[in-house]
Amino acid sequence: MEVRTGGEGDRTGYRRPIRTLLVSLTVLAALALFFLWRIDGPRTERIRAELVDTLMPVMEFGISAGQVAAEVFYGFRSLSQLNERAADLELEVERLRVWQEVARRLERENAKLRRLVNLQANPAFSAISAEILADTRSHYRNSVLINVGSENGVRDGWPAIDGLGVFGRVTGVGRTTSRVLLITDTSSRIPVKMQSSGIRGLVIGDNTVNPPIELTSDTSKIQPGERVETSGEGGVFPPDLLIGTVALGPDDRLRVMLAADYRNPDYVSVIRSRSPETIDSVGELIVDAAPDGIAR
Amino acid sequence: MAELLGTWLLRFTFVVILLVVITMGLLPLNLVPGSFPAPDFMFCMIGAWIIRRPALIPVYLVAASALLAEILFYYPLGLWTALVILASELLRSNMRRARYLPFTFEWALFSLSYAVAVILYNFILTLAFVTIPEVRLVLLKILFTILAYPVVVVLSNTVFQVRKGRPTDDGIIIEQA
Repeated sequence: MEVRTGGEGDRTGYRRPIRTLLVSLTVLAALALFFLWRIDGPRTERIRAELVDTLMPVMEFGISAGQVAAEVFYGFRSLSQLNERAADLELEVERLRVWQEVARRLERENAKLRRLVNLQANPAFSAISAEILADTRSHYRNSVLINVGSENGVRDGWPAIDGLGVFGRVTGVGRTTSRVLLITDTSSRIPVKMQSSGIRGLVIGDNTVNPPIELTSDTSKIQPGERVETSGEGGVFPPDLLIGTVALGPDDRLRVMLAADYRNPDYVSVIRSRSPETIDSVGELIVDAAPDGIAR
Repeated sequence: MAELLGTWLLRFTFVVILLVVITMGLLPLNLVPGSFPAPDFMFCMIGAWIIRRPALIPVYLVAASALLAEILFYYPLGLWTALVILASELLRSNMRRARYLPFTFEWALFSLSYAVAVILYNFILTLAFVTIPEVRLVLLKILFTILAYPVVVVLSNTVFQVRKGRPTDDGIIIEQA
């Protein structure tokens, strides 16, 4: 039986070799792109940030439609548990009323004390609010896209927090979007300290919501439940931002239960932080900070 | 003329389905890293449609959709696109055999080409000193994609009527496309 196949059209003799050539050229171009990405990552990532920037307004329609659909779906599912939830919430409101009274008293006291010491809020420590646009995670990279970019003054390296704790760090800024690398990413390393004992260490992302902590000193003094905060070392994260609480993992490693709410992400704040010294050329590897009068 | 219109309509449908697949992945509903990877529905779609209607899915469409996914999901650029093109060309050249042998053969061919592509991908990344996920996750991804393939084929057959045609079906479409 004679079988005719498509596309490859064997009617004319020369079309097949030309097609093979074109396919090979496409594959080679893709491999060249990979090579370029590997040897000059920063530049290709900048190009990618710009491409994502132009693509996002188009994709946003679909994403918002999907979000609405998901909300309707979850809404139906939770309708049945509504009565139960209402009773729970009433109890919760009673409990919170007590706390509200406590908070009011503390607020008054705080205001009085601030006036006493004449405290001025640090203007460098302000934040830009952003909405999470898209979940661009895979098992290779854990990052999300937010809707502020260089137009809003966002710079590479700034930390992002949600209402509860450190969320991630800006890596890659487009004009109206930027990318936030989450703490859970395998390339994320955050210098931390224990709030009460002051022991320092690193939180190392490992694709789980409870990343391990590697400590620089004695671990025996650490109590589970202790709060973990950024230490400010390295100059990327400002000090004293909450990361989470310590817990002993099932593998007997100390891990952090992250404070940031990765279950229901919506908004984050990008913190304007002091940018670390940049090294532009080879000769400036040592930042010139020698004060006058010191012999060089 | 009607055939030509049908070709472009189906091609458009293919692009829309891939865009929906990408958009579903981009929904920011839950950022907790999952312990199970999602199947690669894009590769399933490309494989199923190329074996059924090779003329519908030209190589530039395969390249463009793989590259779009790479850009939006922050994968290393280029490598997966290259491997998807190679795998899809392998399926295209074996399309005749896949067409007249039982589905099991097609499924095995698809599974083999996907597994080889993923293993090569992670192997090359390791050689290039790019960190790759745990082996368990990579193997589960291959397994889930293989299991998802028959579902994608059934949906393509029933909903979009993309079937392995009689030999002349494609001939007519191709002469005009």
